[in-house]
Parts: sequence; C-alpha cells; structure tokens
Amino acid sequence: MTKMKSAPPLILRVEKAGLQSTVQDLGRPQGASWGLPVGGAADALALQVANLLLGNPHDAAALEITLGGFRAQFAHTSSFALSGADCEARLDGRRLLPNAVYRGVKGQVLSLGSPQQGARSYLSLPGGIDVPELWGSRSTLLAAALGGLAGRALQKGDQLCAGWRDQSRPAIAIAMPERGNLLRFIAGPQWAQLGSEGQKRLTQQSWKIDIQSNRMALKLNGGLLQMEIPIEMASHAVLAGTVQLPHGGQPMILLSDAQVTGGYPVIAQIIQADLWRLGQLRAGDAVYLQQIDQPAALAALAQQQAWLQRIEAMIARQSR
Amino acid sequence: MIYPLGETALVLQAGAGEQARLIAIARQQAQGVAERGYQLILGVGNLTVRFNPLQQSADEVLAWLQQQWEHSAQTRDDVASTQHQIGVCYGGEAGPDLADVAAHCAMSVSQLIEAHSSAVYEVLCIGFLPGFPYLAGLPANLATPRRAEPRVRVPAGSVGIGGAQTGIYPCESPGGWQLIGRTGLALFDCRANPPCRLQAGDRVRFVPQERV
Repeated sequence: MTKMKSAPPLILRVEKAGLQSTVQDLGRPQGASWGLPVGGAADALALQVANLLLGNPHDAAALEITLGGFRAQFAHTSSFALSGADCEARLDGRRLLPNAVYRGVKGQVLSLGSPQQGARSYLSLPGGIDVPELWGSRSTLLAAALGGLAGRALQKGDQLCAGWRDQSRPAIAIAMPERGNLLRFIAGPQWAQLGSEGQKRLTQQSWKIDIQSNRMALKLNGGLLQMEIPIEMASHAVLAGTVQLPHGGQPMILLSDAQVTGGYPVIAQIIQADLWRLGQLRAGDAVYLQQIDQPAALAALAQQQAWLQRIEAMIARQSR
Repeated sequence: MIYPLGETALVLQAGAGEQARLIAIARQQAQGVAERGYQLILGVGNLTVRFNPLQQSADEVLAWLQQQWEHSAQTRDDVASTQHQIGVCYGGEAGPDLADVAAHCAMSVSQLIEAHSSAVYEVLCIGFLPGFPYLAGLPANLATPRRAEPRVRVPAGSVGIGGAQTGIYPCESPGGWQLIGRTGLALFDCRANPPCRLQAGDRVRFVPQERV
C-alpha cells in the first residue's frame, strides 16, 4: 500500500450520474446553531461498512447513489468497496455483490443497474472521496448548495479523487444484518396526546412509503391520524428519525437532511440503531412501527456498535 | 421540565419567557460542551442536548442540564447582544404584498413601513432554513395571516410577515409569508466565518432604503 501526500489521485470519471448521487459522510452537527441540517449518509451503517472494508476511517466521505443508474470509468487502478442496496453492479462484465472490496483497473467501467430492494448504494475509495472539508464534514447539503462536490449532486463528466492510492486491499466480503420491515421507536414527547386510538393505529397496521419522500423526510401512507388533544407547538429541535404528525394527519419520519427545528407534534422517535433502515426505504415499501423502551434502544445501539467493531477488527486482521 | 427525545437527546422545556436563559446556555457551546461531545440545539422556549448514550448516561446529561439551567439565572444578563441595522427596500418588486398587508392592518403603506421599521426585534433562535432568524417583537397590530397560496419561489433576502412573526428568507425557497420588502444583506454566506450573520440573542432593526 502506498500512501501519497502529493495531489489526490484521480480515480473515477463519471459517465452517468444517476438520479441523485452525492458525496456524504456522517454529517455536520456543528452547523445546528446556524440552522444547518446535520445531513450525512441516509444509511450511515452502509457508509461505515464501505469505509471499514477499505481500511478508511469509519466516517470518511463516500458516494451515496440513489436508486442506482450510475456508471463511471476508472482513470487509475484502485481498490474500492460497495455497500448498501444491491444494484446488480458490474465491473465491465463481472457481476459485483455489495458489502465487498474490489479492484478496478484503469479503463474498466463500473456500472450500477436498478436495485431490486433498497434505495441507496455506497461507493467508497481509499482514504475517502477527496472533496474540501467544510465545518468538519464533506457531506453535500443540497438545500444550501454546500459541501461535497461543489454543493451539488454529481453530473456526467465529474471526476472523483481518492484520499490516497491503494490497489491491493484484500478481497473481503461481509454479511450485513437483515433489513426487515420493522422500525423500532421510543414514544415521542407528544405520544400521550396522540391518544390510545392513534397509538394503536400507528403500531398495529402497516404503513407504505409515499412517493413524495426524499433525504429530508419519508411520508407514510396508511390513513390520516389526528392528535386527540390538538397542540400548538413552538419551534423545537428535530432529529433524523423524528416522527412528526403535521396538521394534515399524514405522519412523516425525518431523515438526514431534515431541518434543525420543526413545529409539528413529535409522536415518536425511531431508535438510533434503526436509522440506517430508513435510508433504504423507497416509495411503496411497507413498514411496521414497534414501540420499545429506552433500555432496549440502548441495547440495540450497543449491539450495532459492537458489530461494527468486530468488522473493523476482522478487516484489520486480514489486511495485515 | 426536562424530557427525552429518543435515546440520544434531552429537551429542556422552559417556555418562551425564559429564552434569555436558554440563549445563555446555548452560547456556552465552547465551554465544556464540545469536550463532553454534546450538541446544543436552541428552539423557541426550549433547548435540546444531543449526546452519545453509549458514552454518557441520560442521568449524567440530565444533571448537567439542570446545573446549566440553575446557573443561567445569573448569566442571562451577560449575553452579549449585537445590534444589527438591516437595510430594507419596502414595497414594489421587492415587497409585492406590502399594500395587501397595509390594507389588512387598516393603515397606510407609509404607516406600515414606519411601524415595521421602528420596532426592535430579538433573534430567538436560528432554524428552519440555514441562517433563518426567528424574530420576536413584531407589533401586534402588524400580524397578518400567511398567504392562502404559498409562493413556489421566494427570493433570498425577502422580508415577510407570517401570522404574528416577521422574518427574513436567507436563501431562495418556497414560502407562504406576506412579502413586504427585501434586503441585499446576505444572512448566510458559506465563505464568511461564522457563516451566519445573526445569532440568537442579537437585536435587529430594519432601516427603510430606496433600493435593495
């Protein structure tokens, strides 16, 4: 492995950018006092796996590709990793599975088709994708046209540079946890005011992801809910995974690019360990919501962190 | 009152009358907040602390927050408040709803401009859009309901009234507020440090001017 301190190596030339491909890392929490959404990968677990596979810092910047349809040519030979939704990726003719490390040779073409399941795929390069850091993050924030590559989604002709050169990573593949269709939540501050009827409906029926969903929010179809006790809310912090009930009655789950503050009742908060699942949901997918308590949410989070640490240790052993 | 928002955040709900104390806590970001890995998000009458629950227990954070709240009773008056004069071109293309708002408030256009520009506004917090200030202090007789049909494009710098609030759109966005004028002042600029011109606790006055 050669780590160069000179100019960042050009690795990929984008031939087809797809619906929405953006550079993302784990987000920009320090921008909250300026009204900046935290942003970052919609599926932060897949992003971290893509990084760990290459021996990158877990929070390095990678490419988030929405619903596939991406194609790029290797300008230089390099290792790379794919994770997240399986888009029937191919390297020239060879079929690639997600959650594995590969080597692209100069001139070869990497192409992603459409995913059968899931919404977002992640492509990592050695040392992360080299774009300028802004306030502690390289995430693209489309709403404010900042971060990432010129503050925008990728376009045909864009060039992606890596943090360092590395052509010889061991070919490792890992098995991701089952995604399932269950989202676990902790009761939100206005859960009680939703009333027992609303609580029952939220948790006992399936909800379908609305077509009008994006990196800011997933809207849920399955009938309208009303607060039993209507409340006027002053603006307050909202987070990825916050479940709001706007006056219209259609529940929505906020995602990474959500505004820092909101004004609708918060009926639930999806647990941290399940946030990655939100990033893989797409229009028409059915989900169930299940209430759990704080200790169970913490246990799930600790378990997920331990899993990531095991992956990291396993990859470190194999790379020796 | 302090309550949890999921397993990674606690919310201190104090009420709008206690904003000065909340601002005093939020302004201490630099002092000990970063080392603990906390992130503070100020709302209107509330303050949220985000933390890593695998590193700190909610009980620890709760105790810290209670301590900050008690301490803020002394520090509330020490918050430095920058006064901003923001030049606004009222009416015309810059403020297409000025006449409608004046009619709704039963005053002349010049009375409306006079009333809006003589009040002193306080920045309660920044949110909704990057650099968007929640301003308190709109004279009650200027309150005007939002437009029935929101605009698809509100130009950056637009000054509007929405219900009992007034505000400035920092960037182009959709919006339903009544637009009474526009400022050429950039409220949010990626190249500036800090990028956000206003901060919670600052005071704002609008100064009528001929052009944007």
